[in-house]
Amino acid sequence: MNYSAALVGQRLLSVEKRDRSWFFSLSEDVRVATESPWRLLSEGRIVVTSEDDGHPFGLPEPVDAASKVLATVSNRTVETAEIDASTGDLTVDFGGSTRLQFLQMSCGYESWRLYAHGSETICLGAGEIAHFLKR
Amino acid sequence: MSVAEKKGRVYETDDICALRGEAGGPDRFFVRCTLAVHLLDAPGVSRWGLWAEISGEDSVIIRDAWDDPGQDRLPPMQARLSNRVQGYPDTIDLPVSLRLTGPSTRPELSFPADSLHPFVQECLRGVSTHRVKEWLDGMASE
Repeated sequence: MNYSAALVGQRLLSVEKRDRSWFFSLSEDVRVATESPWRLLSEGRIVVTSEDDGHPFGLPEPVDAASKVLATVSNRTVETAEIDASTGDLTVDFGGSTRLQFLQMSCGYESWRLYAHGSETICLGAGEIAHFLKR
Repeated sequence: MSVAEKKGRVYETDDICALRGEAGGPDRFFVRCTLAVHLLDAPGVSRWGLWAEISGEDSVIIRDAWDDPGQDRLPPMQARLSNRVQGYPDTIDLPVSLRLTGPSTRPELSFPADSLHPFVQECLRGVSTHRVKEWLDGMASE
């Protein structure tokens, strides 16, 4: 079932980390927020993950995960977006084998939230999905 | 409600909302819950996220039990739906039962089996995945 159609056709405009939360803002007032791990894949490899942010890895500058994501997908639009029926993981496909994955890693805590046009879809603990109406 | 009035009368988080009464009226309390609807043609459930209005007494019980691992042993509470669901007769104030489920999970709602409201009847019967898509399309077009 496609719960994430609002993402299709959108472009990623910004990625921001505030405290433990990550915010991915797309065009047309669509946003994804998460405190859980996420990762960017391209050409069959991991480009960067939330776990890498700020790590030096022996480089002159520590990894800036937000910049890496934007550099990889900023000129692309979302082709498909799917939610794994078992885990609740959200995969946003930008085409050309470039995918941004928002992972659920808990049987109890919520992970990603998708805000689109005033409604909100939340990945609950254990991977169930809930659709919240506007207040 | 204006932004200034909201600032003075409303306390809200992603989980709860308290609305100070107007002109000496009673305060009102709301909790963000989920409502599970069984899928008829796929495993599992689809979940609505809905606000429910609770009494002042129950708001104290919920606040005190919010971080209690044993909160799911509390008896269900009577509440009222606080969202309008598109495509049905008005769903505001539909009676629901609210049950706490755990410190990291949202309270769950359930409808009384004898309700004649079409939204309640459809939820109690279960729905197809196609129907869930129609619901989501309705949410997107609100």
